[in-house]
Amino acid sequence: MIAATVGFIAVLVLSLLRVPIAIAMGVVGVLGYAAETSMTASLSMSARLIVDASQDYGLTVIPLFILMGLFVNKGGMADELYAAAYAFIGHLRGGLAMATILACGGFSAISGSSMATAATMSRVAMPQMRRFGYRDTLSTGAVAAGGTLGILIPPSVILIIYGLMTETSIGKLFLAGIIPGLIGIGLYLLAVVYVVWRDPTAGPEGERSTMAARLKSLKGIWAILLLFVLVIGGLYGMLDIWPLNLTFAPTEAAGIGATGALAISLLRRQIGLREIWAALTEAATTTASLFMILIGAWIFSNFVNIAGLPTSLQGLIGAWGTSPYLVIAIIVAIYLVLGCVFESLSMMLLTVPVFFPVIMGLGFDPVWFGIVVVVVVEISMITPPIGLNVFILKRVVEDVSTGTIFRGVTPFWVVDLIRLAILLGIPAASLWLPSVLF
Amino acid sequence: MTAIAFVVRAFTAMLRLAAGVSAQVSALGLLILMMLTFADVFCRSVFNAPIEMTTELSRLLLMVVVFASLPRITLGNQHVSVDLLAGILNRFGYARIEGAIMIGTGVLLTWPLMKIHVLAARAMRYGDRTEFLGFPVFVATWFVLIFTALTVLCFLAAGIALMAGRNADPEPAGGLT
Repeated sequence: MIAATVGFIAVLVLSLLRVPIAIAMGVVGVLGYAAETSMTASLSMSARLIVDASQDYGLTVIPLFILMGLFVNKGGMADELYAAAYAFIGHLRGGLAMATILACGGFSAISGSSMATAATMSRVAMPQMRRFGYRDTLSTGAVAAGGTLGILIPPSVILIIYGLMTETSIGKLFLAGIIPGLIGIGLYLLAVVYVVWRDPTAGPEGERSTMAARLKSLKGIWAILLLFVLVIGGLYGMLDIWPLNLTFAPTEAAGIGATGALAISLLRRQIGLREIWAALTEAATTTASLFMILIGAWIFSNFVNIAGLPTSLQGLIGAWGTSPYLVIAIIVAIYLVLGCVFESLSMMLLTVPVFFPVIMGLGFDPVWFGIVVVVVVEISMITPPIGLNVFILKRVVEDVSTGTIFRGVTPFWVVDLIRLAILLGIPAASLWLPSVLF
Repeated sequence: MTAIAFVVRAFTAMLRLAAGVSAQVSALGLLILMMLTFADVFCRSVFNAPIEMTTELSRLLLMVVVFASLPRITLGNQHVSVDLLAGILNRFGYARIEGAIMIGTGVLLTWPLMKIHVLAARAMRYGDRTEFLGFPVFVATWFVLIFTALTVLCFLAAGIALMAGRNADPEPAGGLT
């Protein structure tokens, strides 16, 4: 247990010294594993992992979902989504910020990445909110927080990786993310209401749309609805009817989603060869970055396992007779602290191999724990000092200070904590849907 | 410009070209992977005739996507890292130390590289082939070996460039995780 703890501290220190996270985990993992066994065994394990990880069929789902999100982004589908949400609630006080949250929720249904959602919606929603004189705190806060919905509402790259790491059903995880995602949208809307209640000038009313304009705006979202039905419907066998007979595994759903997004973007003449190639290159480089972290994390988790950390933790918990709920509270607190230092994926990959066996030992549901982890990861994306979504937004609105954006997201991460408490207290909020449909 | 500096710059330029080409190969691999997955589902649903070698081809294509992109990411210093102390560290000329870390990483990666070479040589000796395609396993392992070696060189070049106060790849690839 001491060796593994030293390993964790070493990864933390190296990461703070700007050593790439994948390398920090990989090097500490190799040296730690060598200390427990031998250098030859450690290097053989690492080499085998490097070769095998990149040829794991289950992992092909990752680049395909990333590609789908990029095609959707470049295909301009987010614009119609925002326009539809704006037509219905843009005239309310804080309505544009609410429309942003709703559009983020809708975009998350076809994008598996929080950062992609935040980047896309900031391009679409920020100019409108600025035109109507929204305060920077509210407008940037709404986009950064709304973006976090991307990794909870299916499809979600983070949920896929959690599922592959822990051998939990990706289908169940996706279903389990829907209700917490909807709760998140509802609470974010309440956060906007609270902000404009305290300061009505923060979010002035927009123009009221006529009923005809509202109905017309709905026509624009057919592409997103079609993609969502195709991917999620195919994944859960809802399209297994004559003459379609479509049932997909996750990888196939991702492939069909990516092809569908490309076809729709081409049909709407929103994308050319240059954009297609740019999306492919970006998806490939993002995939390679993720795989580097995955490989590093797997090497590190092999070390942690051989050092016996999960077993020791379980033994300690058993010996002290600690309440399972106190253990969960401690784990969540550790995640919230780590989230201030690590980016989302690295944090999850670093910790899940340790905490997951403990959680299973305590008799909790792996699907529920996955959703809790993702919600905590979401919170880490908007909390200082790292808050990746905040930095994505900063790239788009360069004239707004990072401090202003962090102030703006405060009401949103406060309601995120409420959502986390709901999910911890009422596991059915995430487990009910999979239990009904699976 | 000294002879050594000239050699280093020429070497970096060559690496930049190689990394750029391999990134294009990676993008092409991803395009084929997407089309293959679609074609498999289409053939299965419409003609009740799935493409049997899809799984094997997908695995090989994933390997191409991942390893052919690594040199470009490395040369552009785009690996995910924690920027929490970047402001403070940069004030103390940390870029040079970061360059040294990149060089050190490159050197350390040669250890698993040698082990991958052992795996590739063993796969070649045994003559293992995949089930449906009959594709020689050693070719895949050699692919991993070659592109990991290229990545090691990119780590060294990126580290040297950082120590000299430059970026090895002035136009790094974009990416959102």
